[in-house]
Amino acid sequence: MLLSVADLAIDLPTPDGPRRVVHDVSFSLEASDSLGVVGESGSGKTMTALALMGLLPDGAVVSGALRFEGVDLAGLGERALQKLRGDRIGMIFQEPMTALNPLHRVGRQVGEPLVVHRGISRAAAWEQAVDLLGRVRLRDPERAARAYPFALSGGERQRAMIAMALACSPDLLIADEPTTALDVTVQARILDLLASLSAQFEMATLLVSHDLAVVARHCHQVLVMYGGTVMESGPADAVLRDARHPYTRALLAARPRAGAPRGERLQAIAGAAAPARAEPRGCPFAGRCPLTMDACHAAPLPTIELAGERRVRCLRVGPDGRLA
Amino acid sequence: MLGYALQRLFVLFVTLAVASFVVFGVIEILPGDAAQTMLGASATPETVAALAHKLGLDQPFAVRYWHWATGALAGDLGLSYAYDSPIAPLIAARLTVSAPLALLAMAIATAIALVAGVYAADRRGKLGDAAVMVASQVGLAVPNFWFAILLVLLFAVHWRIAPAGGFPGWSAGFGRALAALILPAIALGVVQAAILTRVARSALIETLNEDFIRTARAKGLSRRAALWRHALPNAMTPILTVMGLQFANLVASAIVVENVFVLPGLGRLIVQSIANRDALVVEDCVMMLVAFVIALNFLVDLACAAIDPRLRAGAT
Repeated sequence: MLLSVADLAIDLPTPDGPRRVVHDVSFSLEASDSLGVVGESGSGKTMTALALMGLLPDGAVVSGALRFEGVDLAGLGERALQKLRGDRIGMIFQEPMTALNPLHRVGRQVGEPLVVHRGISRAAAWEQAVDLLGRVRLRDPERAARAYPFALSGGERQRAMIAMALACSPDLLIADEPTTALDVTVQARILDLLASLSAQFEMATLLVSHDLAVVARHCHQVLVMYGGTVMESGPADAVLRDARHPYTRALLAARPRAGAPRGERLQAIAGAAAPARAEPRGCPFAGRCPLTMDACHAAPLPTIELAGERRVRCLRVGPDGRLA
Repeated sequence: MLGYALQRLFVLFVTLAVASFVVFGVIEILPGDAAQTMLGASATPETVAALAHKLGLDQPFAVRYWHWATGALAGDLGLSYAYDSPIAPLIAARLTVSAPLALLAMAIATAIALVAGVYAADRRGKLGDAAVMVASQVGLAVPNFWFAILLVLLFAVHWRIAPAGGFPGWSAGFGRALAALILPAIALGVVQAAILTRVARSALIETLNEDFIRTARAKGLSRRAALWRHALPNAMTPILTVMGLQFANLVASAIVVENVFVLPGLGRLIVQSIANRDALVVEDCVMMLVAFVIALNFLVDLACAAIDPRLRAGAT
């Protein structure tokens, strides 16, 4: 097992005391496998990703077990975490426009992980950076390396970010909404690139996205999050074909589909996304769920194991695994 | 880069031209008559008028401005009414005191501000940060003439490790001359440092919240390495800009501090010349200070462009 997360909870400091933004999150990821984490803004998916990197905001408190290749990340000191970051675990972020240092040439930034982790010279790192920029299929990698970030388009910058994350051939790549800020046509190309590079570099991918369709297309496993916790998880095709949780179903209904009749309205999820609460009780989706019962607001969320490595957390799912 | 430099150079000349007009105009409309002051209250109106004519004071404003400005461009700053000697060598001699004083004060301010600013930003929200903020608040509140007197009392009167005032001249030896400038430079620099520390701290904290700092950390850089390699260079543009603006403030404060320490610098020359109604000297000195401030801001613009490729490319 490359990565396993058990009972992850994250508390962020706020002026009114700590706020629990993630709770009861468990999942695991095999080497070279891919997991998509889906959820709306505020669902805790980005915080979960940052917790794996040990890059949560100052004052955040993490509990639960985070194991990378069997080693508990919580037990590692800052120096040991630094050795993992950028070397064994690479990460790319949502905003390619601001994620690169505006003052340094792209080649220097792409090669920097090699300088940090491999101790090679800047000149040698530059050579490798040009090579990496070619592997993420940037036209004219020499020119891209010499350019400053402002001279590149959003798609080109995101390719540069990917090249940077791949520099040390990590075992795990965390991609936090890697295409959200990009044009739709660029999105698809970046995601295809990520998929083919994951195979080439034999690395596992954790793709964080608000877009279920994106996750379904590019990941084997899917984890649907809402209000700081997991609603449903399992193999992506099975979850998509036969979603069991009312939230997953609502997400699927809210998605535009090709071939739908013109003028058909998309199904909106009623209500506003629930903020994570200080004292998680009941189901966070209860307030918006069409199938809510009284018990949903108070009873602890059950975890129902289904056939085929699937899990769903809903009181309305019966022992047979059917939504009642 | 060359295009940007030329553009800034053009702005520099336009600013100088406008400033020279304002400086000359403002001093002209001040009350007081140089001829009357030189001859004393008992002089007859005829002798005053004769002297005014000899000095060219009876010519129209535009003519006098034209003579003054074209003369200054050719290196001729005119004659001092009170000292009855060319002004250029007079100012040159004063500059050997004022220029090193300003540079020393700026260096002290920058060194303190960068160290304290980085320290505070690195520990933002913690005790060390709070201590730096309190210290800078005190530094801001202290008038620098009072701080200068305090320094004299402590270092010159009480401990006797620095001269209380006066300037022996650079011919008396580099060490002695520098020793005479140290206390005034501290008096000037510490107050500037208080402002600059706050600017450095807030610029750094803002930069530390940028996405690219998280990227740097995700690469495996330590907190400190991310701060020095990625945050500080990005924070330098606002810091340098404020340094340029503050320099005008420093030059104005230097006039006061030079008087406290009895330093024969431009500041004292200005004060004496105002008392003497020696308008040309005042105009020349003020213009000299204005030119320094403008030139320094030009250098700041160039330094920012050297740091930030977006400025060089003309992008925003």
